[in-house]
Amino acid sequence: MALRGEGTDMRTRRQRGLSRCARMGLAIAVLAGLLAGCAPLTGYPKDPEDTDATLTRLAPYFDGAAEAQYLALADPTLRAQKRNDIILARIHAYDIEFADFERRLYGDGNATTLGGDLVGLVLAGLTATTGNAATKSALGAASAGVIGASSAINKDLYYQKTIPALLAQMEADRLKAELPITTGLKLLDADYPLAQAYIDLDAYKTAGSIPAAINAVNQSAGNAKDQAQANIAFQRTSAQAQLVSLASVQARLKMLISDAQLVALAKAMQPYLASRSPQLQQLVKAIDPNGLRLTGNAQKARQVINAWVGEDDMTPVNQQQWLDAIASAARGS
Amino acid sequence: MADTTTVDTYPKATNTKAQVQAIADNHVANGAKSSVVTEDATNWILTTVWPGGC
Repeated sequence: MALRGEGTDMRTRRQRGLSRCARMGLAIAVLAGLLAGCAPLTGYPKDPEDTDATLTRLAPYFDGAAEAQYLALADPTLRAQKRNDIILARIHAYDIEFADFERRLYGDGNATTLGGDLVGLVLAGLTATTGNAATKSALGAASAGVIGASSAINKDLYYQKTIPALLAQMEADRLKAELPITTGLKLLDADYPLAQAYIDLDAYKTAGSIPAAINAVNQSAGNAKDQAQANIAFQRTSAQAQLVSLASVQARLKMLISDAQLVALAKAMQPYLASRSPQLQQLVKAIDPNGLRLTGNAQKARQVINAWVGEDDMTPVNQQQWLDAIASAARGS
Repeated sequence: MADTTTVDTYPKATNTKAQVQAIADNHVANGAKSSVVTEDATNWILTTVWPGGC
């Protein structure tokens, strides 16, 4: 009885062990199946248009057939109509291709990268852990799996963060590139011939590419950096002396109250700008790059005068120039 | 519209912070959007933002 009992216990334990292994194996298999079987959630509704058929129908606008018809037309109105047909057909084709490109970038890629990496890791883990390997070996494999999974997730997070930014840049660039085309559609054929439209269409097509988007993003970053580095530096000696001379000019400046007087002062000081330091000339140029103050823009005149006086090197000569110019502007009004 | 920033450097050896602060106050009273005094080891640094620019 005792032997039979021990045998029964052993069988029971073996059955329980097998059952536990079976359950674990089943759970791992289900997990792997779930990961492998993840249907990509693209984030886009299904397109009701048969885009392949549409692209086939648009082929004459790319193979030269429609262009030959355009060139054969003599009537300017008909030529403009045919030009517009070609332009709109090409834009439609580019839009279809871009939408497909966008879908694949954002949708399928997004869904498969992490899933694919994790399935690979799960399968590798199964191979290492379901046999009769030693505990140490199993732990090592599990650890490697965790590290690998972390790497996969990091890679996918970078991807998820980068692609939407590039897509947004591409869409912005495409809208920008579309502007001259939509403007050209309203023009006569003589003013916006098909050859010019092709150049703009090429720019529109290229705007929807990743290299163009990366270039645009880098250019924006470069512009921001340039702006940050555009601070205009002055080396001063005495704040006290600067303040005294500033105050004497600013007291007279308050005599000028009308817009016309400010513009007159800006014009009166203009001949002296060339004698000022490169930094000061840069400051004036930065505030009023188009010289609007000299064409009657009182707001620009005020901005330039305030900054110029504030940053000027008030030598006796410069100070006298200001006082004379202010007196002249006051008399002239 | 963007603004234009100037950075004036005054040697600490020949200027006090109060003198440079007076320049900052003068700038703000005469059209500057802001004018702030900071310092490094040897200089008072006056950073002023003037309205207007591209």
